[in-house]
Amino acid sequence: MIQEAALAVRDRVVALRFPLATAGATEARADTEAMIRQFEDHMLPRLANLDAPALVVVGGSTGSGKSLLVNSVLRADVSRSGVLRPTTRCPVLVHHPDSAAWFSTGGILPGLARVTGSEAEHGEMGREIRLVSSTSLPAGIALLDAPDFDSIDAENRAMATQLLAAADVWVFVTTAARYSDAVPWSFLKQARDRDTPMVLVLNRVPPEARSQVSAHLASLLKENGLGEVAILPVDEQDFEGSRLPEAMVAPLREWLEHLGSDHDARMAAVRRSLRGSLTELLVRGESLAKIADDQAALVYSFSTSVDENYANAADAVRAAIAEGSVLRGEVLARWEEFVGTGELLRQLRTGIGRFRDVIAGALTGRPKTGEKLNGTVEGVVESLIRAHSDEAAAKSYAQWMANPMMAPLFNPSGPNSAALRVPTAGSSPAGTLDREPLRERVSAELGRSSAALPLATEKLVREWQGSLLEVVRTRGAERRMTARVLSLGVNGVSAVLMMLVFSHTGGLSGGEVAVAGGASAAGHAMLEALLGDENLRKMAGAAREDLEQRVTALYATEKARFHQELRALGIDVDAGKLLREDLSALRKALK
Amino acid sequence: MSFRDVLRTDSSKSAVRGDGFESADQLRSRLLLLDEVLETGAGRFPADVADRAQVLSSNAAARLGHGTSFTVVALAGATGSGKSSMFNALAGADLAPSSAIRPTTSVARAAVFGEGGQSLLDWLAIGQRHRLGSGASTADDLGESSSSAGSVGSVGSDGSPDADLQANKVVTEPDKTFGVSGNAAGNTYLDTGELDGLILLDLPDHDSTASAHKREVERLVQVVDVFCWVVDPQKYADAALHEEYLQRFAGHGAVTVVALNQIDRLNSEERRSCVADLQKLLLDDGFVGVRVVPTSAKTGEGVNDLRRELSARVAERRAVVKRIDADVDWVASELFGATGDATPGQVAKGARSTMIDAAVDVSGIDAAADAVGAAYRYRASLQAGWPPVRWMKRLKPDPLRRLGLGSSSSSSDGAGSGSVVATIDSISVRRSSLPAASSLANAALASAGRDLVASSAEGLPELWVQRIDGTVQSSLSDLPSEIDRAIGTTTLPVSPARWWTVVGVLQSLFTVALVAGLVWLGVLFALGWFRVPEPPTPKLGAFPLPTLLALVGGLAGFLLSVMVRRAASVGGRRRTFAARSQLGAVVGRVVDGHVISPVNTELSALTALSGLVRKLQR
Repeated sequence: MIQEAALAVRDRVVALRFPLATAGATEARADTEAMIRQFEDHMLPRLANLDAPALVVVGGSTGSGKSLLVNSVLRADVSRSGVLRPTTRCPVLVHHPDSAAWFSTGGILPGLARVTGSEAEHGEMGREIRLVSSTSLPAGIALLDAPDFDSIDAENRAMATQLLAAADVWVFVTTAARYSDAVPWSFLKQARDRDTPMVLVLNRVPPEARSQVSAHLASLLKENGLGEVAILPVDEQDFEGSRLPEAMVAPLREWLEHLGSDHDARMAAVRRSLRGSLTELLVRGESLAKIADDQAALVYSFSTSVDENYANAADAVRAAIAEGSVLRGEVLARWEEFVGTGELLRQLRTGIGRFRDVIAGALTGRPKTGEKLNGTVEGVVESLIRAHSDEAAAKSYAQWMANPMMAPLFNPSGPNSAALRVPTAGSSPAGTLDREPLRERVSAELGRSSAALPLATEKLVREWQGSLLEVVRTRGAERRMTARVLSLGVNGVSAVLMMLVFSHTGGLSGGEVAVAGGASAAGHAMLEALLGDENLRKMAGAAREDLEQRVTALYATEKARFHQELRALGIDVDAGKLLREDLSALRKALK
Repeated sequence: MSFRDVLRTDSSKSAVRGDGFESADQLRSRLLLLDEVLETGAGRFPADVADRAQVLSSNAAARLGHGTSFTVVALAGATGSGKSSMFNALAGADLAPSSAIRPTTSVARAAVFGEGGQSLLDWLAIGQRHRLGSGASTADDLGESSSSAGSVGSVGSDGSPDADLQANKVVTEPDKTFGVSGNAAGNTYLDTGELDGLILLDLPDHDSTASAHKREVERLVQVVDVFCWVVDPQKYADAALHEEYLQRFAGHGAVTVVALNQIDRLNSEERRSCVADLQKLLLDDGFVGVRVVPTSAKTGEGVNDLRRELSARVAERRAVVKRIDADVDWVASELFGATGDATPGQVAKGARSTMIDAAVDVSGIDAAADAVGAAYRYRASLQAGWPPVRWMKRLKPDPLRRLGLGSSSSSSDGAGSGSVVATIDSISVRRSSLPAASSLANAALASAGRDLVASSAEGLPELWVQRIDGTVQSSLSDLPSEIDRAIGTTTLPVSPARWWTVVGVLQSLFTVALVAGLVWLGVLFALGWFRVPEPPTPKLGAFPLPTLLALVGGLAGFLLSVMVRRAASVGGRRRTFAARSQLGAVVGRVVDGHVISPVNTELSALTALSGLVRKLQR
């Protein structure tokens, strides 16, 4: 039952993504990584097989003499020791021959390759464990000599962190020079939080200061809630041979042998560290859930603001049509020309007028005024739609740019990628492996309308005109004039209808009326005569609504580009909630 | 305090200029350049970068203000590496307590070799001081520092010097003078006179759990002249040392010494490989040519080497300049990282003309120009129109006045020279009632603004793009009202044409003739109707004079008014055209002055800044 609950939590954690720079996101990414490792390396295999040999990890600072300690305990050279730091790079796992199967098949630490044989054959490799089988260890335990966690070698640090997290029991090695270093203490506090059974070896103690240093260390441990941890002091050796004196390592060896041979004691230790790890994981999981919520909330708020910007743009187009601003300037001039030259009337009267216009147009090379009007209206409507789309895109883009939490979208490789040395203390968390693949930088293109917009707008206006014609065909079917209206041809009709839409409601106001004079009024009267007052109003309303719908649909495809970017972040809105549910299931199972 | 302020005082001048440094002049000009960069770059660098540079500049100024007669060497390193032991060994006396308990030293202490240096130590905020040196026979009162001469700024996160440390300044040990000739191990040291001018600092550790220690180290590594990193065989490869300090100060190789302490724990074979390994790590950190001195504070081995190394630097008295120079390199590369390699030009012609076109659309000057033409026609017909129908015109308002343009100053009684003039009313400029810009025109203006930003800020750092964007946005927000004001104060071509008066007089004459003829005829008619004998009617040729007067007056007046109409419409068109180009020029001027030139100013400032930073970087 615990196993199932733990598996469920693992799967939730694997699915978490923290691509945005919200508070604590970097730590959350690292912690997610560490948690998954912990599941795979320790908790899941342990839950599956509680009786498997306990893994004792020997961990400590660089230069603290871990390898020498291991060699001395085993009375065999299994791990190289020396003065160059860091000495141990490839972790060495020493196990009893009987438990070879469990350790070599990758039941624990499945992510690390296994090699056997002496170190010389392999040299320094990354991401693998060297297995050494030895009968000097009881069958119940295995000893793992881990690399250091504080040298300049980042790979070592990552490996040590991973190995210590996978341990059932710790043998923590520090020295008289190191025991108050910040880095070891961060690990000791982690062991405290996970309730890991542990023994602390204080190495390289000057004999004259042994009691003084041990007492100080003991008081520090007590202050930090680790009072029950046993301290095994080992004296500083003048010239280090290949072994520590027997007397110095005897207590540790005894401790290990007791653990290896006493089944109950071992099971207690294994259960304790497993339960402790799972319990600590609940706490970390909660904070991950919180940060996942933050990420989801951020995505939601940006998604909403994009919607809002495009809704505003659509409103602005609607308002521009309603207030009649389409009818200003050029369009009005063309309309006056169209109505004023009598072309409209002539076209309506007989075919002769049209015939004459065609001849005249052909002779003078001028397009008919109806066509000119049509082109102008189309142009104005198109640029109206485009301008507001540009504005919405620019605004949305600027909003994203302005928020530092969205910075990873624009600079996916992070601020640390700059080649420049930044004169602040480096604080990259040791051994974080980023699961997030490097994204394409969001290009500045997003801040403009899409490249397809001009064509799409043109199509929109054309289709709208088509539907206008359709409206005339159906609505005005019974009227005699319909036929005549239709005889104007597509250009003429759509011009007339567009003018109808734009002039009928909003109308002109202020100075515009005076400038426009009676021309548009005359045009309007003419339209009314053509199509009837009642019909006219209905048609104008329907046509405007139609245009608005089309614009909204067009803007929907425009804003989809922004939503696409947000979706590409892979943030699940419910991730936090689901993780919390699974965590509480695990908590119940643990009780 | 900036470097420029320091230069004003004479003592500092000699501090920088004197002592025969060849690079001191260069450093001085670099610091002046840095000040200039920071001044020009106010608001144009990311805040953290600018802050760091500012702190560095003021620290440099303050440090130089204390002169180069003392060289401050800091013994820095991890806990347990033997900094305090080394401090004692170099001083030749047990000044600092060393212990097996970690961490030992929690507050920096200083050993001063030679006379003076109080103010420098005050500035460094070092409370615990010991005076040493061959000539030190009197006990200087080093402890009681009179007043703090400005304390060391910290570039670190918390910013202000530690309050504890300020307090520590007062709590000082009683000053002691040590005559030095040897040490416990019996090694004979150089005469400490060699070290006169050295202030040796024993720093706390940077890697223990005591975070206050790290803060103290952070504060002091910003301001010391020479770094002497003390490492030991156990800890020499620690990430805390290399990643947080050595890599960061790799540019300061000229003022760095590394002592590999506790070599008594290694045999000769191990020593060699250990030193070689450390040297390789230092190379990886980015140091070039840093000396590693193997030492043992315990046995005294190598201490003289280190002492010689330090005394050479002290005698040279150039460490101050070298350190600050390295700092400036550091800051320069950081500033360069913020500015990038961008060299912005000026606003492109295309972007400017797009902006002007958009501004013209927004301004509604077409309406104004049309109104100018209409007003011409209106006023022409008012003055030179046919008097019998002229009064009807008065019922319509003046088109220009309706737009609130060209306030009329005429008494407008219509008589004689009643002229209509647009005046420049600069005192009471009011908003014209030109039609408000359509949302389409506004959108086009906004779009032109974006294009302007995009084209002129291309390839610039994000911060600068935002600045230019801010400039453009704020200009655009009040551009329409600026244009409106400019249009309101423009003299539009609405002066009355001279021919109006002439024609007006003619029209009056013709009307008088018409009226005279008609009255005459009327009188004749009345006389005839009352059978009163008619007086003789003068004749002109075959026609009676009154008939002629009425006919000619009427006909000529009518024909003249037709001609006036034609002329007024031609003149109106011409005026419209003139007004349009005139107003277009006005809009262009407003756009240039209000939008383009601020952007150009910003762009030139950025170009200048970029050049200065490049110069600073060398």
